[in-house]
Amino acid sequence: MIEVERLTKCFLLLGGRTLTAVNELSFTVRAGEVYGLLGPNGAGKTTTLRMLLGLLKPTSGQASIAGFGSSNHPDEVKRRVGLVSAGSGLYQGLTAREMLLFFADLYAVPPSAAFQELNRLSRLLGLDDFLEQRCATLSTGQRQRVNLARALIHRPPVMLLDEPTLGLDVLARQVVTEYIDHLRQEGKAVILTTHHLEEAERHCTRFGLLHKGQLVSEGTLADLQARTGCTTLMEMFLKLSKVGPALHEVNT
Amino acid sequence: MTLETNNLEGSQGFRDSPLAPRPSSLDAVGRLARLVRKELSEILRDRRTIITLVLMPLLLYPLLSIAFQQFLLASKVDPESGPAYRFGFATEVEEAVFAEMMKLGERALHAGKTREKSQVEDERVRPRIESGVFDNPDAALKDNQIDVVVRIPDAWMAWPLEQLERDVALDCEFRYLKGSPGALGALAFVEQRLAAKHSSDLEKRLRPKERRFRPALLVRVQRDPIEQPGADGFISLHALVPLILILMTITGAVYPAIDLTAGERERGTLEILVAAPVPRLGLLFAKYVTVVTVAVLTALVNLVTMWLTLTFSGLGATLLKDVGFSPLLLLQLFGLLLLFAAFFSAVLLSLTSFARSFKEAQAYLIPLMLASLGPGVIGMLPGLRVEGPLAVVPLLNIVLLARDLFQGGADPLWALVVVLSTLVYAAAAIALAARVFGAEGVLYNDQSGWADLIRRPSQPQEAATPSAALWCLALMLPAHFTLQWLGLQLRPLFDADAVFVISAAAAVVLFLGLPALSAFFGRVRWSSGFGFASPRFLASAGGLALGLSLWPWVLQLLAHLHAERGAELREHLAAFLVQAQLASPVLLAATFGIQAAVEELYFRGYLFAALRRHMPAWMTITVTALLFGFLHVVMGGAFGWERLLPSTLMGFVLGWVRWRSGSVWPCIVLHVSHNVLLNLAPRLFEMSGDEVSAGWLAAGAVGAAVGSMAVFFGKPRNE
Repeated sequence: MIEVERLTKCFLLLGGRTLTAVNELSFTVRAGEVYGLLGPNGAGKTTTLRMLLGLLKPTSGQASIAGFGSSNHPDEVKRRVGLVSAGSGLYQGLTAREMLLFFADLYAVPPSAAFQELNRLSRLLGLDDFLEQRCATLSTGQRQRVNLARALIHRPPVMLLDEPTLGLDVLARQVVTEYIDHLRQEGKAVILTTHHLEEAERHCTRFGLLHKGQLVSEGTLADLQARTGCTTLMEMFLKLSKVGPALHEVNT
Repeated sequence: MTLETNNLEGSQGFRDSPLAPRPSSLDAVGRLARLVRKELSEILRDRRTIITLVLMPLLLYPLLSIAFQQFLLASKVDPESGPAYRFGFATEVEEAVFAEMMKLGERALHAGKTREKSQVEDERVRPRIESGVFDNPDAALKDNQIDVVVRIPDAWMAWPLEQLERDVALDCEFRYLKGSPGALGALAFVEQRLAAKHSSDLEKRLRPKERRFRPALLVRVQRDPIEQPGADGFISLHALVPLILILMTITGAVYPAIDLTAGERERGTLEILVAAPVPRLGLLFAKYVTVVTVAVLTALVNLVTMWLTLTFSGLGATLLKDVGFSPLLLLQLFGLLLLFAAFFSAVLLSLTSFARSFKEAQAYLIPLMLASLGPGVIGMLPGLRVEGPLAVVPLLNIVLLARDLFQGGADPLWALVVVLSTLVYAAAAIALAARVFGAEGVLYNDQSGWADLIRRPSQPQEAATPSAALWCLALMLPAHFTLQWLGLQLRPLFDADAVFVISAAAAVVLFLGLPALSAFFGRVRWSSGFGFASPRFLASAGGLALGLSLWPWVLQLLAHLHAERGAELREHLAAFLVQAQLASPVLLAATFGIQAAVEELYFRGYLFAALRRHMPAWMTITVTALLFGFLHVVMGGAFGWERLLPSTLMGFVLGWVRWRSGSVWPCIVLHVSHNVLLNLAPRLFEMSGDEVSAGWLAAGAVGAAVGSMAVFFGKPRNE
C-alpha cells in the first residue's frame, strides 16, 4: 500500500549549507499494518510523512501510495490519505459538525455518505456531546477526537498519524490509541510516529528506527530485540542516540 | 497509470466502502462555491470582522463629521468674536457700498423679530466682516489674503446708500476659489443678508398705508468660481472622500487576509487544508473571493454610512456643493471600490501568505499600509490629472479617478486605462499569491527558506508560467511611462531621426528585455517559450500576404475613427506626420518593423506559449488579443481610443496565425509588413489619409483572403 524508495530530502539553509533531513529512506507498509516510524527529534519522521503526502517535494527517490507517486499524482495520493498531526488545528468559528462536513466536501464525499460516516465516527469516537459546539470551545482531548474524525471522514485506506497523542491526557490518549487498533482491524495501512514508546510497542506491528534521516533498523519488535540485544524500544532508543549510524553498520 | 488499475483497496482487503468518486468539473465549481461559503461564514462569525465591518463605520463617520464641522468653524472662528470672512475690493467706493449693504441687510435680518435666548447666544459667534482695498484683488485671492473678491462696477450710483432718491439696480460679482470652504461660508453669509434686505424693501413698498416713497436697492448676484491655481490651491476635498473610503476598504480587507492565510497557519489548519485533494489555486481563489467580499461589504457599509452622515449633517452640501451625492456617483464610486478591493486583496494575500503568524503578517502589512497612504495623500493635491504615468500608478490612479468623478469630469479613455491597468496589477498579484500560498518554502519555512521561491528551476521549462508572463505585462506599464518620460527629457538633445531610434530602443527593452529576463530566471527554453519553431513556408507566405493586404482596411478604419474625434486628434496626427516626414523612410520602416517584431515576441511568443499550456486555443487567442488591444490604448497616448479596435482585431488575426502555424515567425512577418505599410503607405502612395480608395480596399480583401488560405493550409505537418 505504501512504498518508499530511496527517499531523500535536502534543505538549503542560509549561508548555502545543506541539511539532509531524510537520507535514502526505503520501507513499505502493507494494508492492515501499523508501522511505527520512531526516532528522536529531528530524525526526519515528519519530513518523511510530508513527502509521502506530496506536501514536500523529495530531492531524490520516490514515495507512492496505492501505486500513485506522491510527486506525480499528489491529488490521487491525498484522496487516499488521512493525516493527523500534533499541530493539526480546527476552524474555531465552525461547529464540529460543520468542520467534519466541510472536510467531507473537500474530499468530494457525497452528502448522504458524509452524513452516514459522520454518524458512525461520532458513535465510535464519542463526539455526540459536542458535535454542535464551536471548535473554539472544545477541550484538547475533544479537539483531537474531532481531528481524528476529520482525517477519517473520507474513509482513507491510509492513515498518517504524526504524534497524535502529543499533549493529551491519559483518557484522551486511550481513545486515540484504541482507535489505532480499530484502524488496523479495518485493514488500513497506518504510519504512526510517537515519542510514547510503550504505546508504540503495544499498537505497532512493525517498526522503523530513524536516526538523522537514515533508517538504522527495521522489523517487528522481536526482530529488533534480536538484532540490538535490547528488550524494549526505550533501550533501543537510548542506544540509538548514543551509537547512531554505528548501529546501522552493525545491522547491515 | 489510472485510478482503475491502481485502486487496490478491494484487492488488499479493505472492508469499508470504496473512495469517494473523483469530482467532475461541475462538482469542482460547486465545491469552490462551498469553500467560499465556509470561509465567509467563519470570517463573518468573528467579532473582529463585525467590528471592522459595521461598528467602525457607524462610529467613524458621525465623529468625523463633528470633527470636520469643528474644523471648518475653527479655521475661521476667533474664539472671542466668531468666524471672520475676508472680502477684497478694487475701489474704496465698492468697499463702502458693500459695508453699507451688509449693515442694512443685518438690520433687515433681525428687524421685527423677537430674539430668542439661543439667538442671543449665537451673537458670540456671529461672523465678522474684514475687508480691504487691493491693487490686484485677484492676486490677493490667490495668495489667500481674502476669501472673496467683490466687484460692484456701478457702486458709485448707490453712494451714499442712505440718500438714494430712486431705485438702483447693481450687479455684484463674487470671485472666489472653487471649493474654498471660507468663500462658501462668506457667500452664504452675504447672500442671506442681501435676501433679507430685498424682502424688507419689498415689504415696505407694498405696505398699504405707506405714503412716503422709499427707494429700493436691487442687487443682482453673480458667483464666479475660479479654478484652483496649481500648488497654491486647496487640498481637494473631493479627493478626501474617496481616500477615506479606500482606507476603510483596506481596513476591511486586512483582517480576513491575515486570518485566512497566516492565521490558518498559526492555528494548524493550513496543513490539513493543503493535504486535501483540492488544487492550491482553488483554495487560494476561495480565500481571495472571501477577502474581496468582506472588503466590498466594508466599502458598501462605509459608503452608505458616509452618504447618510454627509446628507443629514449638512456637510455634503458644503463639501460637495458642485456635484452632490447622486445615485450615479454612488454607483461609480462603488464600482471603483470594487476594483480597488479586487486589486488590494490580491496584494494583501500575496504578502500575508508569506507569514507564519498573525503578528508576522501584521508586521508585513504595516509598511504596505503606510506606503498606500503616500499615493492617497498625493492624490489630494490639486493640479494632478489622471493621465499619462499617473493613470497607471496603483492606488493613486483610483484616488484621482474618484476625485474626477466627484467633480463630474472623468475622461473615459483614462478611466478605462485606470480600470484595465488595475485589473492587470490584480491579476499579477493573484499570480504571485498563487505561487506563494501553500508553497513548500513558505509552508515549512522553519525547514526550508524563501530562497526556494525565487530559485531558478533545476530543469529547463517548455514555456513560462502564466504568472511570469503576466508580471512582464504588469511591469511594462510603469516601465513604458518611465521610458517615455526619459525620452521627453532627452528629446531636445537629439534630431528627429534619433527620436525614432529611441522609440525603437524603448520597444526592444519593454517587449524583448523584460520577457528575456523573465525567461532567464524561469529557465524557459527559448525555442518553445517564444514559439521559435520553424513554420511551413506556406504559413510564412500567408503571414506576408496578410501583412501586405490588411493595411488599407485598417487605414480606412483608423481614418473613420479619427474623423469622429475631430480637430484635436487631427492636430496630433498632423504633428506626428510632420515629424514622420522629416525622418528618412528607411529609418521609419526600421523603427516600425522593430516595434512590430518585438511586440510579437512577447504577445504571440512568450505570453501565447505561457497561456496555451493552461487554456484552450480560442481562449489564448482572445486573451492575448484583448491584452494587445489594451496595451495599445495605454501606450497610444492621444490616439489610444482609436487604436483599441484595430489593435484588438489585429490581435485576433495574429493569434489565429500563431495558433495555426505553430510558430511566432509568420506573426512577425505579418506584423512587420503591416506596420511598415500602414505608416508609410500614405507617403509612398500619396494618399490623403482621410479615405482609402475602393481599389486599394478590394486589393486588400483579395490579398487577405489568399493569405488566410495559405495560413489555414500551412499548419505544421506533425499536427
